Amino acid sequence: MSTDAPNLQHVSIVRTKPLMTMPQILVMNFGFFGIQYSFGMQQTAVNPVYEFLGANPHDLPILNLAGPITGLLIQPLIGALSDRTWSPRWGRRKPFFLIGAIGCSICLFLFPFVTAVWMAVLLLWLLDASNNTAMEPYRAFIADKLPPSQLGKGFLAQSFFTGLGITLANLSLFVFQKLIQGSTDAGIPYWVVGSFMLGAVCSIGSVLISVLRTPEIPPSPEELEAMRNQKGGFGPAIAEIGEAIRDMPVELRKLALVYFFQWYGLVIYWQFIALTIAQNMFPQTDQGKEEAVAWTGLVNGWYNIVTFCVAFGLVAFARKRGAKLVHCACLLLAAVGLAIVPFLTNQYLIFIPMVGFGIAWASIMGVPYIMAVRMVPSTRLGVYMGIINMMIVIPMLIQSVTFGWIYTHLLGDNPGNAILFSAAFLAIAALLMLWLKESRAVRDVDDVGAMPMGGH
Amino acid sequence: MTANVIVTVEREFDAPRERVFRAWTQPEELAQWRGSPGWHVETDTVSGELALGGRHHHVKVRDADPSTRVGTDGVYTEYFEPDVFVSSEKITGDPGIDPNVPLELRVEFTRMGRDNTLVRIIQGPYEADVASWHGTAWEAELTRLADYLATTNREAGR
Repeated sequence: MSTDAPNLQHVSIVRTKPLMTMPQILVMNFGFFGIQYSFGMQQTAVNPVYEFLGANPHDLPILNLAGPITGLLIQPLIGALSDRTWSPRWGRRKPFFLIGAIGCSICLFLFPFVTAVWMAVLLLWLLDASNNTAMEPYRAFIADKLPPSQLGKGFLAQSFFTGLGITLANLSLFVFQKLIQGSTDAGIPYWVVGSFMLGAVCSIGSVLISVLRTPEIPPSPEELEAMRNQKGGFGPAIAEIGEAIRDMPVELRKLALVYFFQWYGLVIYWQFIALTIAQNMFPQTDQGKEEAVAWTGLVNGWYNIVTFCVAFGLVAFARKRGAKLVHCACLLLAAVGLAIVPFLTNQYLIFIPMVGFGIAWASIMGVPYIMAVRMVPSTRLGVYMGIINMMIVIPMLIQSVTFGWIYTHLLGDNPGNAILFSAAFLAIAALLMLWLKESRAVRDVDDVGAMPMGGH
Repeated sequence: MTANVIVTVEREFDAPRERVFRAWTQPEELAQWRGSPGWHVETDTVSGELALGGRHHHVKVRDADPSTRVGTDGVYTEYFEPDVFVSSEKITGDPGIDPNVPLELRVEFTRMGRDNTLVRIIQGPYEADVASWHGTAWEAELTRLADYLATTNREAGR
């Protein structure tokens, strides 16, 4: 072992970890499907529920404050807590995503039975808190289980189930609207109730399958000792974040500016697309409003299908040809698409411009990360991913508190104008991408094959 | 048999990260300590371009039988001094390693306390029956690194 004095710190710890097969990786990530179904419902169904309950459109941004706030506070807190947790029976990460999934299921189950806006707001906060409780330890679980060389596959599987969950949530709204009649006393259609119920089952069901089929790796006695001695809590976490922000590469700072316009614009889309479709493509009746919500589910499902189809190819293309120009072009496609949407009156034509949005969504989910991981050392990726998460939720937070005023005073309470505003912000984000300098691509393992084998 | 096991070895050193990172990567330094006991690195085979995409090479020779040689040819697929480097490598001359299948060596350098460094080596994939042997070999090699760092510290202090 060691020739040093018998000091635990100076003893080598040796572990072996088997590589996982693709089916094992897929089962491990399956829980993401349910969690993302829940996010899909939040994106498409929650705002119409507010509307069914009589909320004003200009209040939508502030009613959605739960998302950015819980994302900003709960994810890092739960992440830090799970780092220091180990139970021989329940594991390290599983208790958190199990509790999160149970919370999601209960909130999704209760959501359609709300009778007032304040109840919907309260449930959204609880739903968002549950989603974030499940999400952060789930990502850490994948990092625990997979060696660094397989992490790419792990996160790819995660993206796959993210797309599948959100797409099915959206499509369920459209399909159930065709199949289920009637509404609750508060005016929420039963087909919306059906989608929420399916979400409640998917959320806990898929997480249970992952939990029961994927064992956690128990820590060694030395690791347990280190875990107990670890200085945790908010103080060290905030100090680490502060240090990482101070050391942040200039290009990542520029990316933060791109993210500001990109995420501010995206949130506007999610909040106002249902209203735009209802205003321009359906009769101004209760029935028309319901059909517009279902159609929005189909439109959102459609762009997620486009995302699904192009994501893998797009990420591979960006890796080869450069992420900067690819992401810029994709954002411009979304901007052009959204600039067309408010002028359409035919509900079928909207699927054409939304192709651009779907391509951009694929890029947003993957391409900037290709750039980001090249900018920072992978040993600090955890803290920088947290900072990137802030680069997403802070624009959302700013949107929540500023856009209500902009919508009323500058955009004339017109949802179509909100979508145009969103298009303009995505276009600005696209142009700002050109300001970034991209570091050269990391060479692949295959390059070694071409190397001379010297020394013999 | 399939190579599907990753070996992880960790050890803390009484030296700052910059110092330990240099000992791992600078050709003239790594030649002083790399290799298990009973082996040494042939000094004039060591080369290295210390940057992302840079290539590096060295040959280890058995002390008792100089005809037994193990060559390492690698390329840095990640290089952030003094945080981490990742190298994709082909090893020739080791009967337990397929020379046609690249191995990934990832070495992380984490600051501990005021000026100590936790080194975490992650390497593989190995076949299951040789994985633990390689873990033990790394343990022995890290002891040589500790001795090397201690010696160079003493010399610098004189």
